Amino acid sequence: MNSRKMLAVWGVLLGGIAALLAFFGNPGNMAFCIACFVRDMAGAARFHQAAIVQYMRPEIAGLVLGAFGISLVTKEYRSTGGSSPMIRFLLGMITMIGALIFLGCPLRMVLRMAGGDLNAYVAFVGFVLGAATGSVFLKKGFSLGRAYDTQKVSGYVLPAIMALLFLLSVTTTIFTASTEGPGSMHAPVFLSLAGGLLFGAIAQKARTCFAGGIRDAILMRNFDLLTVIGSLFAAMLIYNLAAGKFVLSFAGQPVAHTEHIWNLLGMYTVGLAAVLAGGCPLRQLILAGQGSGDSAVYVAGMFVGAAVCHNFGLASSGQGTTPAGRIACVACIVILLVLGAVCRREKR
Amino acid sequence: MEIDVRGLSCPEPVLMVMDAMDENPKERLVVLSDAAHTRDNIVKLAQTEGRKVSVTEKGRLYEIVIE
Repeated sequence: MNSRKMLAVWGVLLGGIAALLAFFGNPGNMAFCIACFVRDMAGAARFHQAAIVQYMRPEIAGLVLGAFGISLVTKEYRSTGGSSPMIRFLLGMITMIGALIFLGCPLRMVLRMAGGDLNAYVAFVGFVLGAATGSVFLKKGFSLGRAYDTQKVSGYVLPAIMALLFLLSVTTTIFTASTEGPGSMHAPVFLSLAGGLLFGAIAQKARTCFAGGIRDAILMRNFDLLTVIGSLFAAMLIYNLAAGKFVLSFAGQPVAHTEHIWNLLGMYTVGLAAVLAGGCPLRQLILAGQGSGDSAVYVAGMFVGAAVCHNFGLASSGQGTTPAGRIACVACIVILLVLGAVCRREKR
Repeated sequence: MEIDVRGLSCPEPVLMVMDAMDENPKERLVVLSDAAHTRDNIVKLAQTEGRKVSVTEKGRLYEIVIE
């Protein structure tokens, strides 16, 4: 089991990987972002046509395969599924919509905070409130039901798809890649893959989860998961200060907007969805890697959600949110509150 | 008392064990889990509460006994 000190070490290593990827070319304050990178992959495969956010990110394949590999070694791999998969698909879509209103998943939120982006601190308040709302539902008996063992091969499907996407991305030209904007900024392919693999393996070992960190602190006064996130933040903060990339401001931050209420509500959506799903986007990728079919369905939901966001103008940009995005965000919150209220735990 | 937390998402298993510990503070609990992270969380909870805890691997399952 992980001691508090070990968890801090894991967090610093995760921050170190993010800093390395930032140094070698990943976009500003976006060294590692689950939502943005899944969105870039959806764009690379032409599920949406937003030209500046298309790139088959090796980090995501690495994350899943890293978790897959380490869970096989530690015998924690379990092929499971069947815990309300379509609700999880919906939660994946909603997570992506909320994340693209704010412009980042919880991981990128922390990286943006470490870069001095004050908008991310506003979003953090929303994220905590969302996770707290989810915790209230959990306390009142929220549940998506049990997962059961599935065919062993079922758990191999997502890691295999990720491996295939990566191989196709380096051996063929079938995927689109942005020539400008965030999608065009990336570390060298194999460094990205290696970073992803290591990040995935460590995140699996440390059980890293942004929503879980807040949730455990609220429900159980347990700060283990927050220790990982705190030290990740510290490592990235030190890198940003040393590299002269720390800029404390609301305006002028890379790939960010300054609409406070929507930064807050976007991450409120993500925090609530993540707690209802049992983990943040990063954790879902890791669980999918270690065999959870339910988490793989959530990841598929994120992928589709990304396409919906860009095809129907829901995603924000540096200029701010869109009317459609604001409507979708409110609708998502309503759906989450209904789900939270109606899905109850079975009686013991 | 036996608590079956197999297949449940975080943090439901921990909440169920917490509830059981609150209801019957001295009772011996046997928790059946199929996930390593759930096992770790329950062991940690029991230790925080000052209870004696042991884990036995039974095939692909973990049996956690809280005395």
